[in-house]
Amino acid sequence: MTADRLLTQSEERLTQMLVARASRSARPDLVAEIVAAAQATPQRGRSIAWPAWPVLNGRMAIAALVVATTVLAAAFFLGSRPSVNPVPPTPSPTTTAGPSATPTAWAPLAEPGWRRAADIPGLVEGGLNVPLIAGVRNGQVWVLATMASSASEQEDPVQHVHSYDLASSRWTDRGPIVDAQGVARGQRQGVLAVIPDGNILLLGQRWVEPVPPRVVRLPERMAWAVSPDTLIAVTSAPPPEANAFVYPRGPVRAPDGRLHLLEAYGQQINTPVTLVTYDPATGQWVEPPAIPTQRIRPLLAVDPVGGLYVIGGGMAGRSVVRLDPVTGEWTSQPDLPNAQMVDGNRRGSAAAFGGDGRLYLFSITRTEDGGAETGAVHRLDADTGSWTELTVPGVALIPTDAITTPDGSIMVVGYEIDPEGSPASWLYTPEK
Amino acid sequence: MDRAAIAIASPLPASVELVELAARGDIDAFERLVAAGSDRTYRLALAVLGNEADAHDATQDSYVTAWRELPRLRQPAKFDAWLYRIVINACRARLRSQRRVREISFDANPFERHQPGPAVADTVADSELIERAFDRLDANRRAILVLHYLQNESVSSIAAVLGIAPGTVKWRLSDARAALARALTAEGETRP
Repeated sequence: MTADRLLTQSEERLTQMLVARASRSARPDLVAEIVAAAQATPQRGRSIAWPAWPVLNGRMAIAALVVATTVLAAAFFLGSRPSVNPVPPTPSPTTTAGPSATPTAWAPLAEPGWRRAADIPGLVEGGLNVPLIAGVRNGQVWVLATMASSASEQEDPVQHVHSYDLASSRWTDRGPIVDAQGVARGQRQGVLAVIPDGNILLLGQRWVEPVPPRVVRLPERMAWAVSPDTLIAVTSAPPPEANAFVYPRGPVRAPDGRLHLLEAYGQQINTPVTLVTYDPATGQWVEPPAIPTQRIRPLLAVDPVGGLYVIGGGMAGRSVVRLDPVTGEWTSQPDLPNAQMVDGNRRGSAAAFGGDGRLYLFSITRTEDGGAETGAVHRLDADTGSWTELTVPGVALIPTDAITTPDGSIMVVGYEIDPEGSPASWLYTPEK
Repeated sequence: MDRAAIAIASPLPASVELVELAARGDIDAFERLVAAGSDRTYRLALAVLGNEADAHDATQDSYVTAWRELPRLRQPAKFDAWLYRIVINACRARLRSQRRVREISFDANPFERHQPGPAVADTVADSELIERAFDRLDANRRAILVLHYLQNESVSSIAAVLGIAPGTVKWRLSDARAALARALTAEGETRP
């Protein structure tokens, strides 16, 4: 019997099987259970008072439920429903709420301009190398890099942790992430974040066991302790949503020590992101007011006074918005020069503030068919409310992430624009 | 109950007015949406998951997610497709959370047509065999087969539910059929 005939027969049987399988009705109490659960769940973007709300999830704590229900009820009875501040339709440079202060002791260790850092060890030319920056810890930039040298490995890539010592300009391979038993796993979609106590959080991780049949674990927020050469799991917490993963780009740490990151809910990579915040002091996840415009994989950067910039992203075009850390209000910032700079592509853009208090955006200029053409750097000047394109002599980089170093320079990691996609990292020191 | 009966029993598309009220926090409007659609939603989850308890939980999780996210739904008229997508995602999550349930990879070549052995051909009419083969598939493949063969959804409707392009729907449908054929082959070979 041919496969086509087999399929034809099995399709008929498949329909019959599915009809039989779905012939049972839901329990009569399902509607009541759903409504009761919904009543205990605040609607996103409507009842969230920054920064009081813990991120709620399927295993939400009873206390959170009580608080949520009480505040919701109060909001309804009082007729006041906190909502996201609308974005002014036409941002004016004079009303732009940029960083109000710059570091007073900015003393760059290097001359202004670009300098290439050593290559990240272990990354494979032509392979799938996605270096993402976790943060700076004890003078070292910590990076989580997903590595796969072949298409088959890309199913189950290995993630290694590396650190770059800013004083000696040397990389150290810290090895793969291991569990409490010291077992390394193929992993994907995770990001690391350095928190003030020196621990490193692993966020949004899915792990894929290295041999088929594959078992895909739920994403987790795990805390990892850093020993001299390895990361060892010490605890874990349930994810914010059973079906969530963290947008795979390094989270940002504000001056007050809180971590801000973007999460995408759902299995589709093109899911709009949500901004969430972790306070290491309390161990709580809180949810700021919703980002005014839905975005797929935008950039996130934090200015010297803790203002959060959400930049571009799929669906958002050229829009840039800033969340004031004090008032919790979103305001529009000058639009990006073009929407292709941060178009929702996983790679190809990164942003960070320099020691001069200005926002730097690293991107690539694409050809019409979407191919990478050349690297580009733009600076947002809060004084003039405009973007300025900077020259980048000799730098042809497809950036994947960037971070401000303690001396006010910016470290950018990514790939060189060449047929091999060689992994590369650069340091940029702004002019004073 | 046959497929036509299920389709006839399906409710009318959710009222845009109800969806808009629910998005503004009207719990009564949301309850009406649930009452009108939860049985059909449950059957969709049941077809994908094959387990009543899991289908119950997935349905409840889906509606709670929908309630929470409703203020962000920009096109109330597309509530049904949006809810289905949430349900499919909930089913995926539930399958993945069951560590005993393993996603068997049939990724070798989605266009490859496997020639079944005689034993399989003889037993292809066995719905139990089909069900076991179906349960070998990952959530994505189960979902697209359910939407096509049970719900009788059009390619454009499936595209809207899954959030993918119509051309991708056709490819994934073909891929799911091929994976089912391979699963049938595997079931036939392991059958006592």
